[in-house]
Amino acid sequence: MANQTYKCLNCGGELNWDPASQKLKCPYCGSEFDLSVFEQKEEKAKQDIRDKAYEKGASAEESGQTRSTDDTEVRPEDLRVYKCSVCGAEVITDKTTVATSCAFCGNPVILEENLDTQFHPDAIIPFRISREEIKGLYTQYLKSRPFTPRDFYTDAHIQKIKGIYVPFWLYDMPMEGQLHGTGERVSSYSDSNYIYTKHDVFEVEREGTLQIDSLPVDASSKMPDEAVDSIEPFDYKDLAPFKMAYMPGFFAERYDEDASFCSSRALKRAGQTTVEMLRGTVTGYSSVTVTGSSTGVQGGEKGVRSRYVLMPVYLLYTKYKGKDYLFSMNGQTGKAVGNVPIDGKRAALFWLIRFPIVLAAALLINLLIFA
Amino acid sequence: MKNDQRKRKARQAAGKAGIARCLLLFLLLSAALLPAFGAAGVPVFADTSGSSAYVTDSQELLTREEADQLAEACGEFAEKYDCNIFFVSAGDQQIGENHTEEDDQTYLENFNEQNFGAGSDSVGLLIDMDLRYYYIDIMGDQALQVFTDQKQAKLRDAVEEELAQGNYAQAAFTFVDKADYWYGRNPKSGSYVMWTLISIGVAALIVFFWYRSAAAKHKEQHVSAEAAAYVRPNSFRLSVRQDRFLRTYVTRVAKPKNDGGGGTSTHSSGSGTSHSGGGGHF
Repeated sequence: MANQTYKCLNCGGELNWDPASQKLKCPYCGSEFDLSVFEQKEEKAKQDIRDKAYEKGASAEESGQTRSTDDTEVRPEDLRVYKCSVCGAEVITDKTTVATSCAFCGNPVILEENLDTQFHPDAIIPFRISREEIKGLYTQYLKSRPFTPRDFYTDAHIQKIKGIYVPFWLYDMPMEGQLHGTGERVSSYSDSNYIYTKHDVFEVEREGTLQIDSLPVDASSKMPDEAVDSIEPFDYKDLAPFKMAYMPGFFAERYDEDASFCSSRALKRAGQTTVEMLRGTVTGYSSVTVTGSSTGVQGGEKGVRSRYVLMPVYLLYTKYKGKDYLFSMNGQTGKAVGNVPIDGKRAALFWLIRFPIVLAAALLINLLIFA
Repeated sequence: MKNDQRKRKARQAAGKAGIARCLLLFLLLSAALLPAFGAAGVPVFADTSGSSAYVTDSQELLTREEADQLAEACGEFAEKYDCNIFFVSAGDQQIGENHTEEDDQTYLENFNEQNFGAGSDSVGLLIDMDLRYYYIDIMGDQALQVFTDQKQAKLRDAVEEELAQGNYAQAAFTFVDKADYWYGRNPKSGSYVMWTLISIGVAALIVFFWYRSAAAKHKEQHVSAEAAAYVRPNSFRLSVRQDRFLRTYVTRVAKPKNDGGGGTSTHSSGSGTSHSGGGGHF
């Protein structure tokens, strides 16, 4: 069973990927190791993957398991069972999970089988923000919202922040588009009885091309699009060739929505921008009406290039008054965005304080005008 | 854990005290402002020497009784509308020998300004038996707004009818009645209840939009609909750019003209105060 772990060369403890130093760090003795130290191991791992036939974990049904232990939400048919190489406990997860942590001993479990050639990422942006930093950024974000309920601040809750490598398709698309419309230019003049407005109407046509580079679309059905879109953009300067070494200490998923499925989303966004850029060239009119537009990829489907990458995201799921709230943070840039529920009491206080003051001011103005 | 609970209770108590303090402040403020609204309704002018300045009957067209009744009616009008109304009868003795209709007008306007304050709301009726001429003067922003040219014409018609029949006292009463009728149909914009309600509404609206912009910070996750951040710099090329002239059309709007319906024509008196009015023979 190929579970990948990296062992500290000094004390033998399990190494984790440390975003602060960008190295593999031992949580027990504090030693840090550069990636290059494990290059050989990495090569061997890749070789193993290429050589071996795709090895599945035992089906959970056969083992009599019905729920995952690493809190992934999954259909029973997709459950897989793996043995933790450190404590021997059985980790129950699903077929898309690539990295998780053992529910019993907490040690990282990297599931190589879920990374056979087809699912092997082209590149990865490693985590740059450490857990400590992200907790600070999260608290800062909450404090800047005026009506955050107190429960969201508790230490116990913040501990639950998960760092996940989310699978993405990055699209390169050469776009072409056309725009038709009418534009009006007006001028006015008057005589003693009327004000006249002259409208000159023009037929407007534009055609153009532009290049879209690395447009990200999240490739996991488990990740809500709005949570992921909101923490864009990622800085692709940090995009590195994929190495397992970046994973321990974090969770990771592989894609379950393939490139052609996700391309329609990418096309929509790219198309919208193409139309907006064409529209931006229609100038000099007092009003413009777009009567039609169309966009597409130059060269059709073949013109689209896609790359499969993993990008770092911190997530926190919170349940408040029966509703689910998902908070997402960019694990590279630290950008935090979330839907935070509104605490009724704090909202009421807002009104209770401001309304009398504004009313008193209004009545005062009234007095000054009419008395 | 206990510490957290204690801290929570302390915060809750402090919060409740804060709310109580705000409510008290609110009540005090409203109580302080309310009396101000009642105070502003007293007529500017006070009663003098039994024959109220509302009725100055130099030509003795009214009996003592009629004069008192008329004065009372004028007092009520002034109370109701915060606008003075008065009656003057004058002739050669008061205005001067060989005076003209114009002099009647000037006399009445001056009388109005001197007795009721230049520029304050006040309407008056002058009857001059020597010239058999009457004049109605309107002064003050509120009054000028209410008594448009059209309304003044109707007022004059009503007064003329009585004067033609020799009912001078009745003419004066009709004057006050009609003025009351027209003024009553123009609810005074200083209706305190209405404006207080409007203030509450406006205050609520302001706080509502204030709240909305604060609450908007609580829903910041959105799906991206565009890809502007991913356009390769300088890659945008226009291959076709056509602007073809189609046609021209012209629209027009009539310039607004004065259409008497809502307007009051005014002129300035000797002192520069705006007056409106008109008169006629009987």
